Amino acid sequence: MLLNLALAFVGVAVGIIFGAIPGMTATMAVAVFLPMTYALELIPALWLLLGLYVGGISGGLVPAILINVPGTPSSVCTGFDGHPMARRGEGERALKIGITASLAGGLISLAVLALLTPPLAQMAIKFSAVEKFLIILFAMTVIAALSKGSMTKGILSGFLGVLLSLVGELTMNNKMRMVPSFLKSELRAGFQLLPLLIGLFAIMQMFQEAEKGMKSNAMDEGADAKNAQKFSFKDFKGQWINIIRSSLLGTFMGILPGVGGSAASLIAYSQAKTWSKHPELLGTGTPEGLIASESSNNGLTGGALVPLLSLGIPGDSTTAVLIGAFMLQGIQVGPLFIQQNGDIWNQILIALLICNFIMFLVMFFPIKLISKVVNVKSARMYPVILIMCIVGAFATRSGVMFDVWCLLIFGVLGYIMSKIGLPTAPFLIGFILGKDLEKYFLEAVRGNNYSLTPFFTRPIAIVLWVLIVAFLGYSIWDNAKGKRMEKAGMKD
Amino acid sequence: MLKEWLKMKNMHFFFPIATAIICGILIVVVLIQRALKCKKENKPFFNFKNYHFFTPGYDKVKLWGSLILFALYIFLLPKIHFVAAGIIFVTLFNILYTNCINLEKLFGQKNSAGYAAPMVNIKDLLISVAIAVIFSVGLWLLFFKVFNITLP
Repeated sequence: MLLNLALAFVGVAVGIIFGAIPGMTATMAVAVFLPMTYALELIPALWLLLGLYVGGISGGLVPAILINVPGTPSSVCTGFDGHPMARRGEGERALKIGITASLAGGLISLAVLALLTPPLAQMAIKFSAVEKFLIILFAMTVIAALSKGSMTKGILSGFLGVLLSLVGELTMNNKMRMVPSFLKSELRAGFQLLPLLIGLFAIMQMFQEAEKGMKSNAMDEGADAKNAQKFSFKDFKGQWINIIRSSLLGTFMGILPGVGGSAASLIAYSQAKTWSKHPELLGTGTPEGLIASESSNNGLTGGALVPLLSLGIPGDSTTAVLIGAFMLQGIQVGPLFIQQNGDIWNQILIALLICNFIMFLVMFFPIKLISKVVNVKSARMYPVILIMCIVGAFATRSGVMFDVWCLLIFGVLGYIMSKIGLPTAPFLIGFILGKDLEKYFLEAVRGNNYSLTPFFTRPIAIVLWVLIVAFLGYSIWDNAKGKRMEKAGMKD
Repeated sequence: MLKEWLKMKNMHFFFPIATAIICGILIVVVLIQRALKCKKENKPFFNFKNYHFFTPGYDKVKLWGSLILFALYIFLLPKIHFVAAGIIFVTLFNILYTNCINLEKLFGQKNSAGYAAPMVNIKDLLISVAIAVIFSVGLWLLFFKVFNITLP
């Protein structure tokens, strides 16, 4: 037991480091440590790998909040509210809220995993490509919510992101599109998400700061740390529905194979905005959005294990690597796994529970020190961020120099976009979801004899259409209301 | 029609073309919105006279220096070792951003206070080199040696 605890601790700590470095992901952490599990038995190996998984997902909130660079794709929405809080001197509070929400998300998804694995897995396989397409489309509606004030430009930016995500080979017919002949080998799999994400956020910010002369630090000049609000568990007052809803959304998105953590975080964020009493505050540095994003992406951890353990289908890229750990030990995951391996099943649940608490302890208490990063001068911080970004981009495909060039290309692109008023967050969301949108649309249409009818007749599809239309309608109404208020304010 | 488009040989073009058409429509909508706004506010559609791509009085040395240094860093990274490139370029970025070598004086411009600052601030320069060495070597040890991750 002591060995298991020690391995979980090491796993969580290393996972947090991987999650916190832009470009490094939980999947990478698990993949790096997988060969080391040769030397271990299955149970200790699982403690280590689950620790890496939980730590890797959680660590992404640190750079998202402190420097507005999402450490992992699933923390894209964390920075929307976390970073404005850090800028006004509430970095420690934002980090503690994020960590506590992560713990809550992890525990709720664990409860779902423990209680509902077989029935949920059965339900998940009923989701065909039609429903998956509509879920991705639903996640894309967050673009409308994020583009308040310039909705058309936001939607345009989102579709440009979708267009860019389609560059490369379509695996269904192995044909390339939109690739210049001299970049055929580099762009066969298209542009990689991590270099694009880091370029658009970190490198673009570096250019913006350089333009201003690198005089500031990450905290606003007018912000007074003494007057900044301190963390208290009262921050969660009135947020329990948000936590439960976001965690369950994250868990459910994890259960659907191939949908991914970024979509979970985006849907949870957009739902938090829809149901919020003060939707206009989301994006300005309110705990509500931060809680939604963090509880959903940690909710994913338990959810992604549901199809893995009950059907043998990985829920996300990290659990796909976890299958390797079972295979190395000669254990077959699938419908009979829980029945035939009761001990291992119990150990997985206990390990996940303990890893979530270790994550909380490892991150919560030293965070005061970590949050001081916002006080470091930009001039000293950006060169260090740059070298970390290069390591992350290069490691994306284990050594493709083109991915490092992409950092520069997307940094410049992000800088130009900011200058011409095209928001970068919708562009990134479009890029993240674009490929899946195409994949599930083509699968759905081809699987239904080229008919679009199932998109409008399947019961779950109808529910999803209602949600999409309702949410879009709400966003348009909210945008118009915001403009009216702005005009009224200007007249006053 | 849809069946023709989605035949195996054509299907890879369906989504890019559909997305490009949507983007085209959205660009037209953005332009129409701008035209309407300009008409309402009685402003010209193209206003190049008052348009500034860069912030007025922006720091030319730091912005263009960042771009050139970054491109050089990536270009030289595979040619020299990760640690060597890291030490050289992180130091250069620190020098560029902290003015520990007075670049304004070097390029013949007065600094903002109007007087010439010392050419080299030794303390800041040493800090720059120390940061570069610690992070380059530290990342190399952690990722290449401990985790066996491929580095440039």
